[in-house]
Order: sequence, then structure tokens, then C-alpha cells
Amino acid sequence: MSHNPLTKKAIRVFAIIGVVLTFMLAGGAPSDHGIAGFNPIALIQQIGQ
Amino acid sequence: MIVLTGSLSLMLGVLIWRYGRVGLDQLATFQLRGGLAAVLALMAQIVSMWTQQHRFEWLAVSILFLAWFGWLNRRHLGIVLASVGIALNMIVMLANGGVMPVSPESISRVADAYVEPGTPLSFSKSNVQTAEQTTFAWLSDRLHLPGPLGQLAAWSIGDILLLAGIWHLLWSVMKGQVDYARVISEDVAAVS
Repeated sequence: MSHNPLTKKAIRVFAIIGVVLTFMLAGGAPSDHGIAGFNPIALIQQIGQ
Repeated sequence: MIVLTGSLSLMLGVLIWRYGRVGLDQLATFQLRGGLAAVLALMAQIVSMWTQQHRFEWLAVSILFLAWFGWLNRRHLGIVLASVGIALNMIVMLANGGVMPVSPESISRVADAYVEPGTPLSFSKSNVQTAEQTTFAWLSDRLHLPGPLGQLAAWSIGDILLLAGIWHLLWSVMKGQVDYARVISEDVAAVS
């Protein structure tokens, strides 16, 4: 674990952004399937099959 | 999911551009409670999207964790506003079997293809269904940005409130308007 204050601050910023994004993804439900004709998750699933 | 990540990135970009390093310093000192609840809520929905089984039940589990997170962070106006938006999304999803309805017209505008009503979109909360098949259709994904941006996604009223709440949260934190004296006094009161 780094003791560099700047690194600690960066970790804290990424952590709070991570929590906010997780909350958004769990609660939001926009239909963006096929965004710009490309959905990487669907593509990964197709490759997996 | 992609547009939500993009929306958050855009918000952060604007706020960092406006408030710079001071804004990031403010963000580094900010705390949200119950991050685990948000993670568990998302995990329940990922299972639902991945398996496309027991969607109503998984949604109910997710709602419990989201309500827990919202309650723990109710002192932040942005979280309250976002939670109201999420509640609207959850109402329409619960009323439609655990999925977010989107009309064939809306999905054709987003994906430029006709999708038969009754089709669940892969790894998504959305299910294509007509307005007649939808309970609380006014809460479903039916809003589009103007012009070419309309292709990005179909949004619900709940999504708009969610984004407004997150914007208010980040803006109030990064510009330094959180009343830390009140927050600390509440923490002390909660512990004692």
C-alpha cells in the first residue's frame, strides 16, 4: 500500500467514483442496446457461443 | 450501461474542467456509506441479466440493497433525488415482471432495427413490448435526446432523475458545499 499522499488521494477519488457508478448501474435502466451499432457485451456473448 | 458510464464520465469531465484540482481534493474527502450495498444490488441485477431467469425475484433483492444504500446516504440531497428516480424505474420494472419495457419504435430509433415485441435484449434490463402490453408505460424507456443524440439510448423519467441527482451530488461535493460540520455531528450522534 502506497504512503504517497497523492496516490492515496487518487485511490480515494477512484473509490468514490466506483461507488457512484455502481449505484447508477444498479438503479438506472436506459435502453442503449446497439449503441452506435456496437455492443461489446453482446459481442463477447456471441463469441462465447 | 454504456451510456450511464459515459454520462458519469461527462459529468466528471465538466466538473473537473470547472473546479480543477480543488474539486478533486473535495471529492477525495467525500464519503458515501454502504458501498457494499450498491455492489450487491448490481450483482443481483447482473445475475438477472445474465441468466434471464427469476427476473422479478432478482429485482426485488436488488431493490432491498438499493433502498439500504439510499437510506444510509439520505443526508445527501443528490442521493435522495437519484433514489426517487431509481424508485420510479423499479416501480415500472416490478409492474412488468422485473424488466424495463421499451417500445419497438424506441428501440428501432436506438438500434436502427425492428425488434419483435416480447424480445428481451441480451445482457440488458430491457424488454421490447408495445405500450398496450406495458403497465405504467409513461415510466418506461421512451425519452430520446434531440437529433442524432436520440440514437444513444431510450431513457425513462427515472433515469433523468437519477442523472440529475448524481449531477447534484458531484457538483455540491466538488464545489465544496457539503456541510461537513453537520455530517460530522450526525456521525457523532449515530455512534454515541
